[in-house]
Order: sequence, then C-alpha cells, then structure tokens
Amino acid sequence: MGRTAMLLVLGLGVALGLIGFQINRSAAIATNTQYAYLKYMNARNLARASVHAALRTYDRGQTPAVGVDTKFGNGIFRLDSLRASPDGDTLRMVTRGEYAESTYVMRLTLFRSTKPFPTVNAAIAIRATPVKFSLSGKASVDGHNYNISGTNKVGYDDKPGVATMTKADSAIVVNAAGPLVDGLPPVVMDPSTIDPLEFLDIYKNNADYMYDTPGTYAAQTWGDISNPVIVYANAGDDTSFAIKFAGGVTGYGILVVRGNVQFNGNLNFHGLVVVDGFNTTVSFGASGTPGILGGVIIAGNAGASVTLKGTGANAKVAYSSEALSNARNIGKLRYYTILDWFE
Amino acid sequence: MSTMMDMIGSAILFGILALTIIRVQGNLNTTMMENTLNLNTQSYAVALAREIEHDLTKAGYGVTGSKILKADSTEIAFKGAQIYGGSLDSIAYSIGAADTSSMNPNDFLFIRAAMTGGPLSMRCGMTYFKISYYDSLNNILHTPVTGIALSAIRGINIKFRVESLDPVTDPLTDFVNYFAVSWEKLIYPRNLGKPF
Repeated sequence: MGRTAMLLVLGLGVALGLIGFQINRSAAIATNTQYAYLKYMNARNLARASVHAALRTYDRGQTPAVGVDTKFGNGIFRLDSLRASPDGDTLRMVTRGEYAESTYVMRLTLFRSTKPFPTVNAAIAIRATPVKFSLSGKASVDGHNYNISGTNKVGYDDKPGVATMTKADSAIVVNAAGPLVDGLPPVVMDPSTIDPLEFLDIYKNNADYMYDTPGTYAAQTWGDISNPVIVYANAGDDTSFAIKFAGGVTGYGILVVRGNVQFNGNLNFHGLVVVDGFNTTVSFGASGTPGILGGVIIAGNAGASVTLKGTGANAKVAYSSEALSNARNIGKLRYYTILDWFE
Repeated sequence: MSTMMDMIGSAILFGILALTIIRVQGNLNTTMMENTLNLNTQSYAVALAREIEHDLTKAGYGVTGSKILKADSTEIAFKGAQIYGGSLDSIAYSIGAADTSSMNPNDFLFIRAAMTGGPLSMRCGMTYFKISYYDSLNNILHTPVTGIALSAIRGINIKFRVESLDPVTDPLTDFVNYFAVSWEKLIYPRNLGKPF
C-alpha cells in the first residue's frame, strides 16, 4: 500500500511538472515571437538614427565618422560607409543598427541642397521695378567671376554687372553707375531674376546673427568658409536710423540687409546678400578692399531705393559662383532629396 | 478485515487521483490549445507585419515614374526592387474570399501577389484589413486614389486584425471567443518622394 501510494505521488508530481513545463514553454515561445519583432524594430530605428546623426553632422560642417559604433539605448548604430561626390552634392551611405542579435542595414543615396536659394545671374540682380539705384563714391560692381578668395578671376561663367527687370531700369542703373559697373555686359535686362521675398521669412527665422536694433556694433565674424551662416541686419525703412559696424566684418553665407546699414570697417562678405525693404543704403566706409564677393539680389519691393556708397578705397561687389555655391551649405537650410533608399 | 479496508481505501484513493488527473489533463488540453491558438495568432500577426513592412519600405526603389499602381482601401499595388540593386518587381496586397475552412466566421484570405512568384493566398485568420494614404503634408487622400493623385502618396497606413482560426470555449460559461491581434503602422516608403 505504502509503495503504491509513493508511486502514485511520484507519478502525479512528474505529470504536474510536465504540465508546468509545457505551459511555460508555450508562453516563452509567444514572448520570444513578440520580442523578436521588438528587436527587429529597434535595430531598424537605430539604423535610421545613424542616417540622421550622419546628416546632422554634415549640417554642422563636419564629416561623420565611419565605422564607429555609437551606443544608444541597449543597441548600437554605425555608419558603415560614406561616399560623397566631388562637389559634395550627392551622398551615398550605408548605415547599420544592431539590437541584441538583430541587425538592420540601410543603403541610401541622397542629393543635398539648400532651400530656398535664389539663383543670381549677375553681381547685382534687381527684382524691384521701378528701382531707384544709386552708386557713388568708390563703390563698384564687377560681374566677372572671382574665386571665393577674391584674388583671381576664374575665367569662365562671367555674368553681367547688374541685371534689371526692365530696359527702363537698366537705363536708370547705367545713368547712376556709369563706368563703376563692369561685367559681361555691365548692365543687362533679365526678368528671370527670382524674387527672394518669399524666402525672407525663412532666412529671418533661421538667422544665426540678428541685428534688428539701430546702433553701432563692433567687429563681427559671421561663420567661416566651412560653416556659412545667415545674418539679418534690419535697420528699418527709416534711413535716419542706421546699423553701423564699426570694426571689421568677415562673413560667409547669406546676409539680409534692410534699411541703412553701414560697414565702416573692412567688410569681407562671401556669399549671397539679399537687400530687403524700400529704402536700403549699404555703405562701404573702409580703406583696403571692402566688399561683397558672391552676389547681391534686391527683393521685389516696387519702387525700392537702393544706394551703394563707397567712401573708402576699392569697395566692390563682385560676382563669385564659388562663394554662392559655398553659401548653399548653410546647415539650417539644407535639405536632402532621396535618390534611392533601400532597407 | 484490515486488508479488506486497505484495498477499499486504495481503490477510493486511486479513483480520486484518477479523476483528478483526468480533470487536470482536460484543463491542460484546453490551456495548451489556447496557448497554441494564441501563439499562432501572434505569429501570423508578426509575420504579416514584417512581410508588409519589408515590401512597402521598398516601394519605388529602383523605379522611375509611377511607383504606386493601385491604391484602394483594401488593395494596393506598387513597384519596387526587392533586392538591393536587383530587378524591378510588382507587389500587390488584397483581400480574398471568406475562409470557409476555418471555424472563425469572420476571417478571409489575404493575398500577396508578386510579379516574381505569383499570387500567394494566405490563410492567416485575417478579419480586418484597411489601408489609408497620406500626401506630403500628411493630408489623408480619399480612396480609391487614382490618376495623378497616386504620385502624391507619401505615407501608407496599414491596419489589420488577425484572429485565431478556431474558437476558445470557456468550459464554465460555454462562451466562444477568438484570440485576436491588431496591428497598425504608418509607413513612409522613402522612395516615393524621389524627384524622378
């Protein structure tokens, strides 16, 4: 009897153990099924994070590190390879996300550009019509294509000195500037100039440097060649107020000028200058070679009055396709077009 | 007499244990069946989700021109290479006829048709399948999306529900129920925004 009872109890114990094992095994499989999907999703999100991290690094004017693991959460992401076209416009990258034993790879080709960025087909392109244009003192305009250092003419892709919307405006510019404008030809009618007015709010909202109170400012440095920026100098339409930069100013990127803005020190701006407002006076007051290298575009405010004064020596607005191209690399305005994305 | 009592007692004890084991076995079978149905339903849902994500993320890859060929609330057809650098394929998802071979009265067949491989009718207990489409501003596009509006599609929201093929019956209340898993995801196939 005792032996029988013992065997029964043992048998019951084994049976209950098997039951428990089966139930636990089934629950474990169900959990693993869900967890496998979670791992897959996390790995994919990490691969995507790697893409974003690489692009943001680019936007800061730096080159993303290749083959370096970055820990994030309980996983890692890595930029496996990165190739850029010689002009830097096209990027090919392979990214990887790893979470537990799940791996997710993305291969993509992107075209990077700056949006918005109006095309400038002259040293000064005037969209406003009719325009009141004045060029005085030693200020001059040159449509020949210079490199970004401003020392050498490139020798191709020369542009007109000033482009206007109508023949009447061209006549106004010729009368106002005369021999102070050079280019191929010096003055031309080009109604294809894009009005930057629609972009101005974007520039203002993304400005890295904002001067919106009349006053005198010391020497300024706005970005550098590898990190162009947006500058907004707004003195208002009442020209009795002025923003004066007393010291030297060096800048790269996009400069939006409104009202009476005076560069009394040396000015070396490389990129796109957008003249906004109705009464804008840009004064170059320094000795040396102050000027704007790139292009100036005057927004389409009808009847806008634009005055360039050069009280110093050799103040110049010179066209530079290289400086304009460099200004497109402003990180805040950069966008990427997907050419191919495989994941 | 004492031996007789022992035998009667053993028989009673054996009977109680036997009944207990039979009952436990019955409950175990029910639990195992529930677990299996639950596991199968989850597995179907995960497999479908991964399949849909795998295919849809490649929509438009390697394609020039029209990428979405058909876009309705329960049907979608698109082009895209499924292998990196591979040749183009066309994939279509749609719902099929009611699945009469299962005990679930609501499920229907789910069909994935590919140019390479042909149509595959899946018996996965799907009881709900709906697709909605969004443009670049995240505005919903009314279905069916046709003509030039097809090229405006940037986001595709997929929602489905799969249920167990067989019911689970509560032995106490006889309430019949089906295990169910719902899945929904808004997918942005990156290649749909290509400028060419």
